[in-house]
Amino acid sequence: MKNWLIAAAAALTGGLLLLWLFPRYDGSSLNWKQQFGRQEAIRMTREVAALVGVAAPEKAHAAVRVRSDRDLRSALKDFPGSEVLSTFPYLLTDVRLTWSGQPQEFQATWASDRRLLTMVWEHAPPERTGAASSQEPDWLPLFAGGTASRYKPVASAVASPAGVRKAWEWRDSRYPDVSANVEVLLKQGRVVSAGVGVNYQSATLEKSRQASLARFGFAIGAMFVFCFVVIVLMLVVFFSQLARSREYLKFGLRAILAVALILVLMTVSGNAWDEVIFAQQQAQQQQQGQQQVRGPMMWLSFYLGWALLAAMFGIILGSGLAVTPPQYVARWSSLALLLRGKLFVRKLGSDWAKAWLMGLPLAAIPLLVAASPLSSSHVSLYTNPAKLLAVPTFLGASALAWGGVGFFGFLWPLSVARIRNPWLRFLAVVPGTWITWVTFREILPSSEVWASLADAALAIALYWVVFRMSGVLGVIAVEVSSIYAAWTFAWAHQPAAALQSQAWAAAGGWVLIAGGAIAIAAWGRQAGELEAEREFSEARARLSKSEREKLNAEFGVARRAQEGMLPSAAPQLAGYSIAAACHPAREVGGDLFEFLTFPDGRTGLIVADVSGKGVPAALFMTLTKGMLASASHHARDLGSLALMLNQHLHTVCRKRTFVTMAMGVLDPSSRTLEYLRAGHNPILWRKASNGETNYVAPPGMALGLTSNVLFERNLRTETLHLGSGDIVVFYSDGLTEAMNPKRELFGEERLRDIVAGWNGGDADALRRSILEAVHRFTRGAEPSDDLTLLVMRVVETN
Amino acid sequence: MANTFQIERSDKGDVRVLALDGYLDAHTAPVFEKAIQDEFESGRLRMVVDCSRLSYISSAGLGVFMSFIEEIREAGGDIKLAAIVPKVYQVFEVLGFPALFEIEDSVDAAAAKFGKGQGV
Repeated sequence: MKNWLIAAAAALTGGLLLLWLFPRYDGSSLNWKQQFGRQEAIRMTREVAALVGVAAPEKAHAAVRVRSDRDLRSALKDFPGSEVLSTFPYLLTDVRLTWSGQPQEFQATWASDRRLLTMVWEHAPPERTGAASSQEPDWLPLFAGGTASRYKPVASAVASPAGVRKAWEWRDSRYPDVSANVEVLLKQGRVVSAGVGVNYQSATLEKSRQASLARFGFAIGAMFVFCFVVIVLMLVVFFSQLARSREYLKFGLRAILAVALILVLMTVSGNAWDEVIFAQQQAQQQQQGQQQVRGPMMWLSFYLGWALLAAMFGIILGSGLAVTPPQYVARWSSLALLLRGKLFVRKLGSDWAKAWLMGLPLAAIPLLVAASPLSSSHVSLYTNPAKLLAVPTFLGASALAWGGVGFFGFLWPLSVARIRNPWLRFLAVVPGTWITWVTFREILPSSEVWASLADAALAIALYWVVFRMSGVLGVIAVEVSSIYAAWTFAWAHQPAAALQSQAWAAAGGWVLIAGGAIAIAAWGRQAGELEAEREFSEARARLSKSEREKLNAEFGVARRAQEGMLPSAAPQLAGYSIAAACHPAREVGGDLFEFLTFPDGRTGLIVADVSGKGVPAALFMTLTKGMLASASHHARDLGSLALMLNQHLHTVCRKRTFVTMAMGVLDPSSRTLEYLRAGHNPILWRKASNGETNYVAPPGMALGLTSNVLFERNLRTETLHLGSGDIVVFYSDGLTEAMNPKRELFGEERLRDIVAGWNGGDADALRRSILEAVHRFTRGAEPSDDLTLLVMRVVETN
Repeated sequence: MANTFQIERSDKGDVRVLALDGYLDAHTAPVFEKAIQDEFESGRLRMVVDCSRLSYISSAGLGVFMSFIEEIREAGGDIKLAAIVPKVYQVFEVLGFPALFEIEDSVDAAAAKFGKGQGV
């Protein structure tokens, strides 16, 4: 409950902070000022293409990309107040139209305020037969807008092999190194390319870039070494664990499948197309168009790149699970549930919901630091604005929360498992992670060292809280949520109506996800959680195949040995039919039944149950058997036999365990059964004479619990006078406590009913019938305890 | 099966009350064993185990009662049992536990039994 309150309070605080701080301190809302969305960008591009002569057909593919010119932005620092530079935009939108038929590729680049910056055709414009060359637009106003008057022509109709070139230039009055150019290239009367660009040579830019590299080179170097070591560790762990258990491999594979879903989303939404097209263009540029870069190759490398990412993700998760020490395995359970598709489980909903809520404060942390005295700049939450107009996939891509998963999923559990000293552990793990975090997040300018460190520290602390609340799944969920929330705010602060409605839809989506998770937490089913946890503990306990086989073989030998110890056949007594069975719950068990022959000719019928199951119980069972055999030679009567056993067991068991026993000594000639119950289930006696079937339960404590003084004081021996046709049943609690899938117990009543209603046959038949009834009742469920049954019937004589 | 098991500790005068909640079986027995051990090692020798919310006990659970009782009694203390539900009491009875432990209907009655000086 406390965690929910924390998450809710943090979410509220985070949300308020975001509302207040985002427009003031986030780079996206301060600088981007995007005035159009994806559809409009495509439309504008079509219009421009039409403007210069050729209309793109309806079915032309459109790829859209947003980028920023960071150098330009930093150049502004070197040339403050440059009138030229300030007319160039922060954000650029490239739209590339491609169509086949007469193959053509047309690309336009737009400023965020709808100014056209460049346009270019990839192939020679087709000849238009009959049509007059389109009217040449007025270039300067088109590209320079209001500043057209500042440009002076530098080239008009200069002929070159590429075509006819026209150019205008605007040189900055303050900085002679800075200039802007409008250039148009015409070929056969058609525009091939046109655009405006800025030139500047910044010596200081170079210097400052080198200076920061020098300053942070150490940090960057340390980061690379750290990451390299971590990745190597991960791979070593992963592949070494493969030999031990396939569970980790399966876990990792499921994670990879999750990434595959993202890929599907990217492909279907067209975002994959965007990336491939522009990657192709870039590759072609680098090769200077010498060789046509094959389309299919680009697609292949795109998917391969993602496949590699997915593999790394799977490896991180798989190896992380493998090294997690037992006390932290539970932190993986909700992620395991998710990856197995068990979505409607309370723990999953609860973990996700709390972490999702914490995404808001996580997104607010950098803004908080930017607003504080530590920093005097704004936050660049999105160093790559490429996803501004490419909506669905950013969410998925950012779900590969490397930092969080890498640290909390792998590095930290590994350190807990391997490094004893907490200080050493801290030193080994935290500084490297801190530096990596700072370098990767790049949220504040690298010159603001303290601010960046503070931001990373706060973020790591928040991740820690989430990890404790919601485990590994929480770490992933909080990162996704924070990116989701921040993007929502980024869209909301752009002028474009299309982006603002996108923001509303996204906000709705965020709330829906939170609400859905909370609903699952409240009304989902309980079951799955333990299944997932159990799967892990079994996986971890799982031995390698050969170890398992060896153990199974040993168990097989032990089981056969134990079976050999049980009487192979019931005693043949004239006038009596006796049958018995013993089924251990595991390979070996703690139950036994025994037939003894006393020196005076009487027969002992014994059923015993060592507390517990499996190997420990089996060891004590063997001991008890031995004691029984030897004691039966020395004991005068049943009572002293029991005392002897109790004495020995009390010494040996030393209160770690005890043995319950039901012992009957049958005198065949006098038809009496002397009976003693040492803490065991009472025997069932059906009297043929009056048809009554009752349990006989004289007092008696279990063997080994206490010294003989107390034991004897509480022991009573009872003598049953049997009649012809009577039935006596000995059993252990594995029979009456056998459970069916509905968690009902077989119980004493059912057993009594079977025996009471029996008119079937001899002891063997009754024994079989009872066992069958139990088997039918449990519907084949695994037995939870050893089951023993001994049936004796006095043969009917008339 | 949710093998949930919890122990709630409280005091009644100088008697320590351990209220068991849930299933006491092989999985959860170590928890109980540690609890009794902690009480014993901190010198709290007079214990009442409140079984009113104990829904199930297996032989492993019973074994826990046995593990420390002799030492505790030798040191002058005792473990008394209180408010056992009928289903669980049956298990105790079959094994003969009533001969070993004082079982009362309520925690107060069990705690009062200590007032007479020593344990068993």
